[in-house]
Amino acid sequence: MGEFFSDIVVNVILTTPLIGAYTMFALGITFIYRASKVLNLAHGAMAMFPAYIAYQLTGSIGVVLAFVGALLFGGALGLAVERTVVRRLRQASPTAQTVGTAGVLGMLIAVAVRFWGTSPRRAPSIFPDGKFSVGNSLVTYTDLGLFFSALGLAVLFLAIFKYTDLGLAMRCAADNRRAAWLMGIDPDRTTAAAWIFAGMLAAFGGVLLAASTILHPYVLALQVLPAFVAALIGGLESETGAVGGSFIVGLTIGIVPLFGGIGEEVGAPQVALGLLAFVVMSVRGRRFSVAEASASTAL
Amino acid sequence: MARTATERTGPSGPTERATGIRRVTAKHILLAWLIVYFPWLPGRPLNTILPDVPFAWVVDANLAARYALIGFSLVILTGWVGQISLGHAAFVGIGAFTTGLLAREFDIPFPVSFPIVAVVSAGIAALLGIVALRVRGLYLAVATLIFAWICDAYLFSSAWFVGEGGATSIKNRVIGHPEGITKFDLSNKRVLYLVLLAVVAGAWYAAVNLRDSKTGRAFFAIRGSEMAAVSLGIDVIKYKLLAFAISGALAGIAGNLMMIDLRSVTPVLFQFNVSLFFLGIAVVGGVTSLGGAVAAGVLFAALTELFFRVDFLEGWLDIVTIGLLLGVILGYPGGLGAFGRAVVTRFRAFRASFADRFWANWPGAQTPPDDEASGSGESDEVDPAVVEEPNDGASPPRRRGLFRRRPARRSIDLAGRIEEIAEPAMKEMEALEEAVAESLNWRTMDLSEFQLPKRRSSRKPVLEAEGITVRFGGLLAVDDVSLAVREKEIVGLIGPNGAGKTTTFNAIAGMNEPTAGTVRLFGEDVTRVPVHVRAQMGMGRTFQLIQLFPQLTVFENLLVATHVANATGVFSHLVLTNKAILAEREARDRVNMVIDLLGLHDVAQRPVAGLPFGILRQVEIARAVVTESPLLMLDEPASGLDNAETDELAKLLYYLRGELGMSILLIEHDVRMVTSVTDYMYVVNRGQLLAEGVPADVQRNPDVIAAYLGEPEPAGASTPSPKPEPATR
Repeated sequence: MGEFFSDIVVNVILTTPLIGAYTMFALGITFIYRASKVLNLAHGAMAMFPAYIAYQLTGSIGVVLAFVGALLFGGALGLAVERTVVRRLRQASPTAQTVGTAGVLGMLIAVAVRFWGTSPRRAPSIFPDGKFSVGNSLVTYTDLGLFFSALGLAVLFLAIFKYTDLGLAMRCAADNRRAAWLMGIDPDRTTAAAWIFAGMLAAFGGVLLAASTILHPYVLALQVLPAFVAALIGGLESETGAVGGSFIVGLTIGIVPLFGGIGEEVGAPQVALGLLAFVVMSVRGRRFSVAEASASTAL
Repeated sequence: MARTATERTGPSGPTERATGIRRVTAKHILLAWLIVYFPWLPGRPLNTILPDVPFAWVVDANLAARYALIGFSLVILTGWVGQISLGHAAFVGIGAFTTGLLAREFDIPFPVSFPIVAVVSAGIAALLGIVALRVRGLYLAVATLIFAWICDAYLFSSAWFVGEGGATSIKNRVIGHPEGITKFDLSNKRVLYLVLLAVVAGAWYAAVNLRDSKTGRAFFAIRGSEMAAVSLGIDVIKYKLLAFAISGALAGIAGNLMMIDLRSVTPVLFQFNVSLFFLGIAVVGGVTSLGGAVAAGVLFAALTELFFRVDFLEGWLDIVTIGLLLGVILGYPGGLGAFGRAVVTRFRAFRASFADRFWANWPGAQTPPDDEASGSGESDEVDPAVVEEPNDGASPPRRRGLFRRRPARRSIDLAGRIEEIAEPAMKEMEALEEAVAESLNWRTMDLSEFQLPKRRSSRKPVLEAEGITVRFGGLLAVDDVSLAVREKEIVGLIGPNGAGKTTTFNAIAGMNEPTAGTVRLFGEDVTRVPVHVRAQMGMGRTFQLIQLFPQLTVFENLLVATHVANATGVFSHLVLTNKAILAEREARDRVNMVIDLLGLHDVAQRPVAGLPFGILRQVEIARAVVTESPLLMLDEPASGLDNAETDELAKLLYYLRGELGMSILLIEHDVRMVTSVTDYMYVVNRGQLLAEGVPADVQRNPDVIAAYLGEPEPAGASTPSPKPEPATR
């Protein structure tokens, strides 16, 4: 029994980088949902692509500058997706918007596959190379750096939303676009800000997650699905909920393989998460559809 | 406008289709022959230029056929029912691997596995559909994505399902070969082409039948407005699951045929980027168009082949196909379907105008065009307006040489034309409203002609609500409200804003369940009965915010309402049985009858979007009339209407009651409307029943006056009513 618990501790520690990355992705998904009422399916690609940019730039300008470059690229990418696809489809329908973001996802992956191929690569890390052992597993500084920088960023963004004018404006515009507009807030700008923040967070998480695990166009882009589940658990509208959801999702992934039988099968964590997501959506389904209906009538 | 002009014509296209009549010409037969014999067409002349091309074409055609099937699958689910699927590759994968599993473990060969796979994947899709019942739009997309993710991570990596090494190869056990009918060697791509062709043709035929049937209309209705669909008696749950099952079956069939064709598949073929590729087929085809899906299937198969053949294009296939998807959705949402229709109409117009010009220019050949062009070429460019003067009336402007075909005059022409176009459009709109207003006598009759003595009748109650109480958390929204509607009665429920009218109405209509109280419809307790069943029992309704199906015409909107009366099932729709055709004719007759009755001829073939608001309200009521529900519930029918339109609505209600014997419950805050129309009225305020009685009494009730004007009046004082009371005899 004691061994089981030490296994749990080890697995939980091993999932910390995932929790960190999911936190950053789920926060970004929440920002975007609040600002544009769109579930950004391209979010995984918006994490994956900057990771490749950082990988590509590291050779010429060094790790730190490459990281900064990837962050800037992530922000620009977020803005570009909002301007070219999401905003243009706002008049069409939520269906069109969703398909549009799915199209961006496919496009970014296709471009990454075309130029970098599908063989997994080792990505450079901005954190020092050391590692230490927990039980019989190794934890790198990158893993820890990912986890703690995610927590730090989450706190930072919560503070921005709570205490700055920009945060107030963003919350206003998210709640009621028209009213915010009448109050002198340009909802287009707050929306753009949300996408830029989300893009930078996605880039941050993507670069670090690539360094912690591997750099691969599909694997990295799909790592955002657990973050979707996390955002759904958090209720999609709440930043703190997104952080909490990321912890639940990360721990699920860490703990499920410890259970014998089915838990040891390949893909069991994914099945568990998928079922979790279906349950969450079923329970909250009515609320979501009501929110959607009211959103569509309010605009 | 004369009523005879458009009387009883009905829709031209759909009726012909639904009755199965279509002219077959030699052109069609030749085309069919070419398509069927395509694999055996002589490749020799082409072979000298492009070796092996004909065989590659057959392979591509097979690929295109599978893509078309997947396109159909997505068109039905996403285009018709509005449920986005980002995980269709998983369904195709399930179909393919199930085929492999059946062959490997149970020795079940292809033609037998075909229906099994269809049923299995339909079942799995319906399971996913159960989740989809609770979520809509964005969340469904995520649910399908997660479903595909689970399949990819678990199912497609399990050895028991996909075979050793993550791949499974089907044994060469196909009917007839090597023993049996040799012609049916399915390892021959050309023979397989015929099989695929038959499947695609069958699927297309069935899907077209489905689209023009009761089932297809139910799908469109769900996409347009679930609330309205339910109110017309459509079981949304059933039809959503049905759509998932049909879509899953088609995708599974595509997987089945893929396995037969390729003999071995790997999970990589069903990764989620493939789902996006498949979605691209449907989107590029125009999402709702079956023909578009076929065209997009062919296009995508051709692109696959092209990017496989040409070395420097390697790796660009996904970029190009996804680029097409994004381009279509951003720039041309109609996709290939709309493109095809546009090309056909353009071509017909061109052919017509070409013939016109040809015959018009026939005698004009006497004047040689050259001499005028050489003389006045320069002044032509300086002042085009002047040049046009002499041209005017004498002869149409002629071509003056190859490079001066489009003179600067064009802009002036255009401006003139814009005015011409804009003016009649406005006039047409007004004329339309007038025509509708005059086409039937109930509209021209005076309101007083309908007036009857206002009193509570002693007839049987149609609808009874007793002690309705609705509590939202701690808020008591409706407290113990009872009301009744009797046969052929018009009953009003009024109250100030926020009084609880709509909540009461929704509790009665079944949109939300009352905390306490009972609702009886025709004497039966329906308090816990779902909305669509109430609709089937005979409760029709309209909505405060008009809930018509915006993509459909008025006629089609009304046709959706024949849902309950039409007793045919899905299978008879798929194969278009005689029974289905008869039911369809009956439905159309019934809609035409209602159109006659309410005088909606002039708008019948128009799309709902863009019609005047007052007419939309009438169409919505007409839709409820088509259901033949004896009870009609109207949610604030006069909101958004001006006084004239409100009077017309009142006449319509009287007409429906008098002519069809309908019982009507309406909620309203327009006091004038309710007092003039209703036989009996209820007043609610702050969730409680404040007063009830015939309008004249209620209008004098001091509590009611207080609730509306905010101040209690001393009893006995003469009360200024909003309008002279209707005469009660």
